[in-house]
Amino acid sequence: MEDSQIIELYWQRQESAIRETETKYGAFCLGIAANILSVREDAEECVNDTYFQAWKSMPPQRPEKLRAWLGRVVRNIAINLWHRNRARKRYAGIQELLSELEDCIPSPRTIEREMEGKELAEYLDSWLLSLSAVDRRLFVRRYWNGIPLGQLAREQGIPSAKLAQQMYRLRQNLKSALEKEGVWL
Amino acid sequence: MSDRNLKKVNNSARAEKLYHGITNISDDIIEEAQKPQTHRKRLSYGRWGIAAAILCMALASVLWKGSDRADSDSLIAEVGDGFVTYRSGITVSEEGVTIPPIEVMLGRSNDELCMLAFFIYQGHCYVEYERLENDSSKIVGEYLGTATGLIDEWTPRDGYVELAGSVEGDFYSVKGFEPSFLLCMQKEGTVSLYVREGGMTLKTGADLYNKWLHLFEDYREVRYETRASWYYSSGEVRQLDAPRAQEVLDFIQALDEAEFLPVEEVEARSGISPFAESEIYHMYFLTENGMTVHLRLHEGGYVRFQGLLNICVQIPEETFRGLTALFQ
Repeated sequence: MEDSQIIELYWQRQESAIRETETKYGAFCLGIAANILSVREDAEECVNDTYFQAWKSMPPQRPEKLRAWLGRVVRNIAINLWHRNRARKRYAGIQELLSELEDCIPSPRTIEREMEGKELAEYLDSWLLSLSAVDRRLFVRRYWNGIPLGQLAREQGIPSAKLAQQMYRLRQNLKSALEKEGVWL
Repeated sequence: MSDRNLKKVNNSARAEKLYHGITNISDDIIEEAQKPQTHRKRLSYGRWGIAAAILCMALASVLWKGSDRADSDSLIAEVGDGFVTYRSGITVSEEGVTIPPIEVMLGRSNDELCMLAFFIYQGHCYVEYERLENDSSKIVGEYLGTATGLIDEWTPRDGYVELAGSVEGDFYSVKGFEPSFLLCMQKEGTVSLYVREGGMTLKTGADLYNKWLHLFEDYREVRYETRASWYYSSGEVRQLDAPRAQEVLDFIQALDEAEFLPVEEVEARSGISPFAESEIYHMYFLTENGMTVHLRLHEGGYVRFQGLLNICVQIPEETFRGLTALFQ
């Protein structure tokens, strides 16, 4: 079913909207949640919350790209779950992601101003667009989809060690770009 | 709190801020990254006679020239007496589909190349196909050479010399298989299989599945998963209860009998481009020696072998439907 038809079902308050969302994007949402949380039950809870959020949000919202919208919701719900449970549970996925993302944090010496929310996302857009299509895809699939390195290496058909090097270079590239801009996170 | 711990907490908070920034990157960039991987896309042909293929491609070429498609002229390089050569270098003639050596690699972009593990042996590219992890050393045969690993995304064409590649290390034959088709490398308990990508002519599926992969005699288990499961690595792989069910045997027989086609032709004929978009299942024949024959099943009955994605066969609809009914 087309995304626009699924969205229309939400707007008509048809419960089949959730069923259709699950059919089309269930695996996608579960993949992101599982990558971030690494605990199947919690990932499933997260996906169910995402459907509930979709039900609450549409209407009034009408996402332009349903998949990207759902993915964002899953990511937000997953990190909130991590905040709630991190004292008693170890979510390997998000901890690895955040640990890798620390490599991108610019040095304090270069600070001129702090970048927030929308501006940061727009800056990341322009940085991503400056990369080759392959590097952009790698970065997004690792840090937006949260795909583990080993799995991403298999997907790309390259050895994990080589991919890890590539990812490190990408993180350093982002760090340098942020430093050149003189921005702080 | 110590300065060190404070710094750690601050860094963690900033990494989280970056996580949220990444969450909100543009829809277009997100969508682009979700599209099926096409860096190993190859070409394939079908059951048509050569004359029909030539006619079809010539017609497609003419039609495309009249359209706005930017890449429309890029399909056929040459039409000769009884053969068609595609831009990719693949030639279709009465002898079958010929994939040229090395050029297959040279035709790729540097970005594509840096993603592949491969080396050159006896003038042919061997590209990594599968990694075997559980006690697979028993399939390692005799030592054949050492790849130097000197190729990366910046290597000029004249750097594609014997034993160069994107990986380095000793390579060996694989017991029970022709070294002219399959080689392996062994590192830290993992055996990587490398399939020759070009420099070969294949007429029917039997040339590959029977002669080189010994599919019929060797397999002991059949597994499958949907395209979505494979693409998102959700691991929803199922096993057929009866791997030697008649539908599977019929499928293998049809696979052997069908003629190879370049994927390019199928794309042109069906309008499905990229071809990967028509994929519906991934099917895995687990063989006695630990190797997996990984097939990609497409709408219309097209089937590709994971190690040679630029060609395919088309099997009869009824046989294809019989097989896929087992998956449902």
